[in-house]
Amino acid sequence: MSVKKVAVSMSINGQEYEGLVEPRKLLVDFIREDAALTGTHIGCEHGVCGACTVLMDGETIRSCLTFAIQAQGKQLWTVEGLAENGKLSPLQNAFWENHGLQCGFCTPGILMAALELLRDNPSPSDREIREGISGNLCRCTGYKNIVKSIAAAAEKYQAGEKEPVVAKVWGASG
Amino acid sequence: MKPAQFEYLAPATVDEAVALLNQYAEDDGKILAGGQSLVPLMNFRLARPKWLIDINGIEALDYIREDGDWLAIGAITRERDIERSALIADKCPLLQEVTRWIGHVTIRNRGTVGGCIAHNDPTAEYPLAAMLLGAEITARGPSGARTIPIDEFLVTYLTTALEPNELLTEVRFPVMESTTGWAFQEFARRHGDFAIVEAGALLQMDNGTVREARIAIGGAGPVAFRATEAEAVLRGEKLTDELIAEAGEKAGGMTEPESDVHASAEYRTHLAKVLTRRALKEAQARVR
Amino acid sequence: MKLDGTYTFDAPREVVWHTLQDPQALRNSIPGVEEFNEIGPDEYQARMKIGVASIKGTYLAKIRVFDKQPPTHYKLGIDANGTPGFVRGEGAFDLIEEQPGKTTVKWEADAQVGGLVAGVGQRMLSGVAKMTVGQLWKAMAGQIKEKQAAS
Repeated sequence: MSVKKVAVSMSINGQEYEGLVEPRKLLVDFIREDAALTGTHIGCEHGVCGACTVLMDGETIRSCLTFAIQAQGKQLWTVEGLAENGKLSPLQNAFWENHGLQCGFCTPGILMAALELLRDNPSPSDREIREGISGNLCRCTGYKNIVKSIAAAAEKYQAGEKEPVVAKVWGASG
Repeated sequence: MKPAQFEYLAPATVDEAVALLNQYAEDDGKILAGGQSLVPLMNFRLARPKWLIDINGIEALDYIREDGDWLAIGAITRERDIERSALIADKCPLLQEVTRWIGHVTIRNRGTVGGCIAHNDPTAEYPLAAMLLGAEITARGPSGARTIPIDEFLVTYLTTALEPNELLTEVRFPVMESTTGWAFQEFARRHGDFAIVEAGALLQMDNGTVREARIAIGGAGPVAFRATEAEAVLRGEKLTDELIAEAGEKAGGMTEPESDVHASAEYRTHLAKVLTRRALKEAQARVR
Repeated sequence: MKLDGTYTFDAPREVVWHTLQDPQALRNSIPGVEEFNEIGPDEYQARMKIGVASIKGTYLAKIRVFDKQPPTHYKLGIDANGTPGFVRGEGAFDLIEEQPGKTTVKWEADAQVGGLVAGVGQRMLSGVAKMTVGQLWKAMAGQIKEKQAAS
């Protein structure tokens, strides 16, 4: 079956990207290949590991279960959108300071999930953090320092530190 | 893996979607809703639709409304919206509770009530909730719409009463009475997994005597079912722990489980009994 | 994968036996059959689309009937290959006439399933297998009714 390619365009981290893709091209592949943003990873390709988690129109989605053409005209945010002017964001600093990653493969997906979790619940309990990231699998850390890092990020936000991407994704009120 | 080739269609209205489905259903046409069940199957190449009809753009199918004694929910309403709906929390709290067991937040952001019920995985949560509550399904085909009661709609393993050229457009759940005791119990290896077995119970009581009981079980057969024999032993009786245990046994007797890599048939039957007992106890505590 | 079951037909054993052995009835009963040819005595080749809902695959199968002990027992061997994987196995069938005009077929099958469907399709496997076998028996029952009506 020979299928014609389709033009697609979307905003990723505030920048416009265009491509010519087969309908079956997965969004995660468009992000990694057409947009050359390889921070988003592919772990399982069937929606269970969370490594491909990105924000689309303000909500986390599995980009391996979404076709690129479904993101036509949408606003996407990936891990590359967190740091600003070469500076790590409070969330990223929290992970660095609390040893929240080892190999780093799951980390981008976990950071995107953490952004949504902390937006919905600015001071989550340990249990709530664990439930909030339960859709992301990590093979290295045993999750303990991930949970610690997210709790630390919540404290940074409470102390007034701003996560630059939040205003960009969800507006000034954050 | 990457999915096989397909042609992509994105109708903007229900009429367009039905027309496309009518045109392509017999030529491996398939509706794409949330994609959280279909796309994994496509990525594994276990499903290879030739025509994918994406209904995510049909805004008219995204709603939660009160309609007399019913809560009408449009087919592409996201599970996450149901989870956070104040209306659902108030009028159908069991549905809200069940929603929290579906996968994880990211899955619920895209998964839809229509897609979940049309897919009819016996271990999914919504078909069970629909069976328990006595939901109704609206299906639209080229010759019009029809309403299908849930026990007719859920036929068997991954199979519903939808004709190939019919689109599920709405699911209606009865408004729960405030005096109803309700409960949902699920067992899975990890929170967020598909259920191994799940059970739900609704109780209406008068001074410790059961006036009405509904029990539904999923994961212990090819489709979610009402444990009618368990319900029968409860009706009109004083609800004691012994009676609850008997109801559990009767529920277990109605299971038709499979053995697979996740659990043996015997264990599923055992779970059905235990979860039925626990659901009844929890529902009893909620009765007002 | 081991499967077994029973199916009762409202027909005398002779009729059930003959219908189960009849290539025409087989062709009409196999779910999703697209092609069905006799390639030798008691040997058939079939192309069939098997699956449930959107999980469908096309298989090319060689089927042979052997160990025939009319009218009580026979065995069936299948070697099917398709895009979602392969199925190889054997089934044994025993026909018991419990009452005149009522025949129960007791069947037992042992199949090796490999490839994609066995790897990632584990959750689906026994459900689809049971459904497919159920469809087959139901269709056979229809064939038997037709044969009875004709005679």
